Amino acid sequence: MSSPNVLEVEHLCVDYVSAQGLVHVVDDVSMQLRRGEVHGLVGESGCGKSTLARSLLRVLGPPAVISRGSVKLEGDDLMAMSASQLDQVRWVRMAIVFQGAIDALNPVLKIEEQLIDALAAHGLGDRAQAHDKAAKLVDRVSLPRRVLTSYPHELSGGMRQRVVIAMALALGPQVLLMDEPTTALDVVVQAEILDELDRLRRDMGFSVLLVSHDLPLMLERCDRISVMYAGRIVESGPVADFREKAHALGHPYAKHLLDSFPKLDGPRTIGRGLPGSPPSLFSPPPGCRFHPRCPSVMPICSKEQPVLTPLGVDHLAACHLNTTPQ
Amino acid sequence: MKYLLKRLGFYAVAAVFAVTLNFLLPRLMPGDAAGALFARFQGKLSPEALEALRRAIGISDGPLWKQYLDYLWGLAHGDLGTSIMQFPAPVLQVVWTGLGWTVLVAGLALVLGFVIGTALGILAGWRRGGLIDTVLPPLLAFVGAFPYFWLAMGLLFLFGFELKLVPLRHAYADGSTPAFTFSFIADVARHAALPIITVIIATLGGWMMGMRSAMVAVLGTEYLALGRAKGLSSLRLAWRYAARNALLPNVTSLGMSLGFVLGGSLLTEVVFSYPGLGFLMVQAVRSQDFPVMQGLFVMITFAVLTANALVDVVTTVIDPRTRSRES
Repeated sequence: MSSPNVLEVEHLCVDYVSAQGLVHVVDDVSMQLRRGEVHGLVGESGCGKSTLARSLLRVLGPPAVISRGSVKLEGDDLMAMSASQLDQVRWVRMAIVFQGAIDALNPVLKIEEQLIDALAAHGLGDRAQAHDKAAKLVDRVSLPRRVLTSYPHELSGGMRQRVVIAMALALGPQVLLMDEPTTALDVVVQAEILDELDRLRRDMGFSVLLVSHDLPLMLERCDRISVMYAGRIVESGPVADFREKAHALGHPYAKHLLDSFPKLDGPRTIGRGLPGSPPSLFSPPPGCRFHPRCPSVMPICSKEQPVLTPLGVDHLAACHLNTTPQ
Repeated sequence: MKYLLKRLGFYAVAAVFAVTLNFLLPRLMPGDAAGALFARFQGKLSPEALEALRRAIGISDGPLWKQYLDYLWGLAHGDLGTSIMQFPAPVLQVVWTGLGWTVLVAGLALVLGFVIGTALGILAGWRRGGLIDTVLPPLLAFVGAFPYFWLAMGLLFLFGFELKLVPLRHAYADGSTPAFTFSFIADVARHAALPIITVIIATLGGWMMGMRSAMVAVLGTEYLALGRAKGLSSLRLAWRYAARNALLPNVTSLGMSLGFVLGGSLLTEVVFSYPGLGFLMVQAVRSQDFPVMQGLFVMITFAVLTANALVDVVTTVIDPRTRSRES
């Protein structure tokens, strides 16, 4: 237990079975989540970041198939577990938060029952105790207790998101996966919820994998960031390395992602968008998947797939610019 | 609660409207009950006797509004007039007897078909691509594609005529008198079995496929994925999360079918010569028994409205989202 990593993902591949054959949505991804950190996973829509997060708890339904790789939670490989072993790990040691504002809550059950059923599934079935616990969970995310007897549709999007977070923390997990937790909320509510989450994280000491396409938000909230493009991680490093000038050496895609958001301070500039769109995962381009859109493309880029190589302290990037002598 | 009262108000208005229409329609149509009746007894009865008969049946030549009031008054007292084909039995009694048989056969067939079909749909949807999901849908679609009367006659021919496993017609053996004895009830069951089974076979596929597709839709939702991530047992996931939500559209369809049970069991009852409402309707039309026809229409109208009101109530109970519509 001396490892600094609470979660280690190695060579994970997730495929979608389709009529045209297999689509590699997550392609040979390795990453680590450290104890107590907030790790951001960022990328465009369809790059596989949600699929990656969900595959960690194996909650993807067909047609998704995890075809390879391991996910070790404190050394225990979740991919090798039987369904019943996995059910004991789920929620107790690793929980997930979806966009609660959409439909993460069962519309026909009261909030209290949805909080309690997770407790009951893990052997905390005592009715009175469970009631107590549900009330405490609601207090913890600063919601009034009346939400316990409410149905999901009676709550606002922000309240629902708090409920989903309360639910996720019910059993004190070590790892919290958050799949676009605030995307459907306005910025004020978003900030409130993320502040709340920061406070809870300090109190309870869990680690967070935060999935979002909102890079400025990531820069503000995360300790480390991984950038995904077309099913692969192209860059990963401490958040400081992604801030403006410090990022001169990083992956061109990450650079463009940073450039595409306007800045509040500094000179007024017109944000530069990234021309083109992500490649079809049915037939990804050979070599580096970013090369058709890359401004610094070299002959080697369409031939060889770049591997993640160290760029600085704790900083990896998969780009030929960093490995090929100019 | 306010929502429910509003709905009930709506049904009351609909009922009044239907009753009025039911009163007007036969009077607007060419030909009338009195003419049919008198033609039948022409030359057999003296004019005095005919006049007495007119009164007994309640045919009056008064103005329309007076007839309407008389009709409403009678309706409120359960007086639907006198049957012509089964003279002098009151229409209410004739219709009531038919209602019992129809509720037994069509009602039971509907409930059983719904329960079995929905259960199969839950299983098929939950184990998508499994044995039940692969074998049953094409089979039931195949069976369901036959015209119902053809299927019913085929089965009646096979099991009733060729194999002699079940009786060919009627609700109970000719000559026996209805009584609460074991032998009589067993006899009724033997007569009802094939009609019920044919209806179930014909409708099972619809219930199953409806439930299956609703299940598949629910299985793709976020709350199901979250439930799975919570480590809930499969039973709870399948039942409280998936089936509980998938059931809602099927219950609505059940309500719609419930209303049509009374009128729609016509084919079943004709094929099996079963003395229910549908069979009665055919007889009434054949013998131009206007009072019975009118009584049947009133009965069916009320049945449809009651069934819909019932579904409204059930829906508010099982779907919390329909409850808080007080604005």
